[in-house]
Amino acid sequence: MDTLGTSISFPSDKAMPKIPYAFEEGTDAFKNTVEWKPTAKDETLTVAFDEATVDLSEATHLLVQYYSAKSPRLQYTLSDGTNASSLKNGGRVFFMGMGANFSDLYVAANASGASFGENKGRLLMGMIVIPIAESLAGNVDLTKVSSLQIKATGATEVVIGGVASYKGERGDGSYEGGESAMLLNLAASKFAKFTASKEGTLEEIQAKPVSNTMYGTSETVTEDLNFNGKESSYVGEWSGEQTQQEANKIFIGGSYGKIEMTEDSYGNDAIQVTATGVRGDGYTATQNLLPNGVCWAGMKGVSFWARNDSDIEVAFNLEVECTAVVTKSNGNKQVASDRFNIQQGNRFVLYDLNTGKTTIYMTRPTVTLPVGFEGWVFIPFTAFSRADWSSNGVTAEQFMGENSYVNFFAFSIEAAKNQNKPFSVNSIGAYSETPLFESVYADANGKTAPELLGLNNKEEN
Amino acid sequence: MKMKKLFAGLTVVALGVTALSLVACNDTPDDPTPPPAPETVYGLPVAGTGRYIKDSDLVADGDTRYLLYSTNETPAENDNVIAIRRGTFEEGEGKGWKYGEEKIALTGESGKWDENIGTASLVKGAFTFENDEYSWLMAYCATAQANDTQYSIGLAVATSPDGEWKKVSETPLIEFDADVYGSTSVGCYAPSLVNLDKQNKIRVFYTYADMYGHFAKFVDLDAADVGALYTDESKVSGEVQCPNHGQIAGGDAQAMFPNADFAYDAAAGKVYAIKDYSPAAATKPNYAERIQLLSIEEEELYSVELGGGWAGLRTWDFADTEDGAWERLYGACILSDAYGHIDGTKAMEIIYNVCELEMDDENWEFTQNLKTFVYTPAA
Repeated sequence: MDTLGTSISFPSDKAMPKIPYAFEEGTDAFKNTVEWKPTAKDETLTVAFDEATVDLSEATHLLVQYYSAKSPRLQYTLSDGTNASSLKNGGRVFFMGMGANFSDLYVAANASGASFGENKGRLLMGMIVIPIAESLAGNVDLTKVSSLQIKATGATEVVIGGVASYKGERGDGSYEGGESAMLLNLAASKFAKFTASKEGTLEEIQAKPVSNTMYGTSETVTEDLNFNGKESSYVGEWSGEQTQQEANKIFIGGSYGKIEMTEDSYGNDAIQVTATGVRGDGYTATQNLLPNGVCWAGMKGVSFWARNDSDIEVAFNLEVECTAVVTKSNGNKQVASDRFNIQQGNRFVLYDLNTGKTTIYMTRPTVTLPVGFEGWVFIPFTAFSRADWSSNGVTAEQFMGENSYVNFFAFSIEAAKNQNKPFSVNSIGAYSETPLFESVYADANGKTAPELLGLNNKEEN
Repeated sequence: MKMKKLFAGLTVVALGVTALSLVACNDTPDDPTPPPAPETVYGLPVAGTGRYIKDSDLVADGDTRYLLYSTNETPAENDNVIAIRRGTFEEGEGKGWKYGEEKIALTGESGKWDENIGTASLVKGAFTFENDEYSWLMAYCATAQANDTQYSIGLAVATSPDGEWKKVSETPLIEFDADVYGSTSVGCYAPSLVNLDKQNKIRVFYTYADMYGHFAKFVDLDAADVGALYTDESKVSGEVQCPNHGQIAGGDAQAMFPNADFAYDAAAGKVYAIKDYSPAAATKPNYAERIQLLSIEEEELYSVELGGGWAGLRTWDFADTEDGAWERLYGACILSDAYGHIDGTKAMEIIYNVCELEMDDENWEFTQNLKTFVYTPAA
């Protein structure tokens, strides 16, 4: 019986694995996967294999197809029906995005398992990579493993797909050049191989679950961030003396500014952002407003409610960090992130609630709100370019492309030009259908901004 | 009778324009000999001494053409007015389009927003204003400033292009807010009208210029009741900034779209534009050295999704002018029908401005005249 006894740590075990993504990619990435929604701690998902038992005695890694819009801490256990081995405290667990062959994203498990946050591949479709010898402890008979059991530590949502083993040479620790073997191949539906305990729900899916909340009655505009009841999380000021905690969501590394609560056109809580003085590089910036990340892959642009509360045409930029699988200069395909912001000369849509008019404006040099504007802003992702100083490999094509997500979203304001010129925002999300200009002659065929937002059904304050 | 001297010159174009000749006029009451009948002048009018003709708009209403342009009312002065001439065609060798007497269509008003009048565009249609019917609409740019800044756009109506024009309002329709957008900016200028449905759904294209550059914009008007445009906001659409990507010739970091004239091919769903090249010449006059003809799919105007943008059809520079004589080409227009429509599959007449360089003629302003090219689309 080949078991995992006392673990011996090899220096090369600390290297990063270079294991090709083992599962379906592209439009079939979610084919025949299951979405598991445990409701409480200790609920389990048991995954059986294509064969009654599998021999993992020579495998170096266990691969589990995985996607979650949350950050569940999950314990992974291999069972032979009698004995089991689970993630041990301190054991490394890697994440590889779909299409990757190299990972430098890992977490250290604890007794409850491993959790991946927004900067560890969360919101990307990918696979969990568990070094069997390094990270599992127990006495499972690796020659006849019968199932993989995943245990939750609370209510969550996670997609589990195929399971594979990987055998690579230890070599430099990358285990490069090895071979994967499918333990559970989802080329065909295998829903019966998945069993959820207790109250957890289980559903076979064919596409990525929608994690965005649709705005109102809209079917094409999401609301991924609103500020209802979030005063304590966002309100703050940076005037030179506060700590970051005191300044809250105003970045103390930049120019001075503040965030205050206000109301949007519908009486909901919104934030008002004001640059109050020049310091450093001259830009007032917010902290990341979307700490949980958001998936806008495949959407066409960012949308939000906004109001110009000043007497000038106020301008601000959006700083968005996009994570995707990129090909590095050394040939490695791995998860990377780059910062994108808006460039001058790109058109965007403004829908003014007070005038009922749709305007197609141009970034000058960033998002600009005309004096008196109150309404909705739609900025296409094509208006964004990668910042000159951010060069981790995410290309324009990959920005908001398939299997990408946003893990950083912030506003920045050129403080000198916009000092004490506030603007308000709320209902930040993305749109999948571009609103069109309509006039007495041009017919938008139902695709005006208010129609796409479903505003006819929403009362204004 | 006024004494007039017309400079001799040759302008040979595919339209069959003949040479102008020098005519002297005897005006002594005691002379029994009747003065010779003035020779008929064919082709684009040439400005007299101390006069200029620039920034034209040429439309064809059946067999009649109307040439709208800016000129100075007083020789050797810069007192800009909008003028118009009616043109008719005469068959025969050495003949062609004959433009009649110049008529002042519109002037600025002292102390008003339009004290300094700029350029204009006209279209035919069916318009009502103060319970009267009008069949012609003009958009003109003007400013209260004397330094070519802060232009705004207003409207006027007439029953005939060479009849009396009536301004529609004491205020501009498309107003440039200098307090917000900068008092040193040129503002909203170069209006170009298209009557989209050949009735009264009007598109006002114009150039918008501020500290960031010169860009093309448009608004749509429900102009059945022209007066209502000033009282009913629903009659005027939101403004649209035209795309500024594609094959736009230019040397700026970001493509500019200055001083453009537009025409509409409704059947093909395309919009055509002839614009000044940017940046302008570094030496005086600081006008464009080239003009470019472009087209775009109409639907691209209405969406912020990136389409192919403007297709560059033809760029003209000094080498294309007769004997390479002109180094400034600017202020062009596309000959359209009375509604601003064209058939993009057919040859297009482009009317453009030329002038001397200041280094060659310190009175270069009064050398501004019109020339023409013909663009033939590829089969």
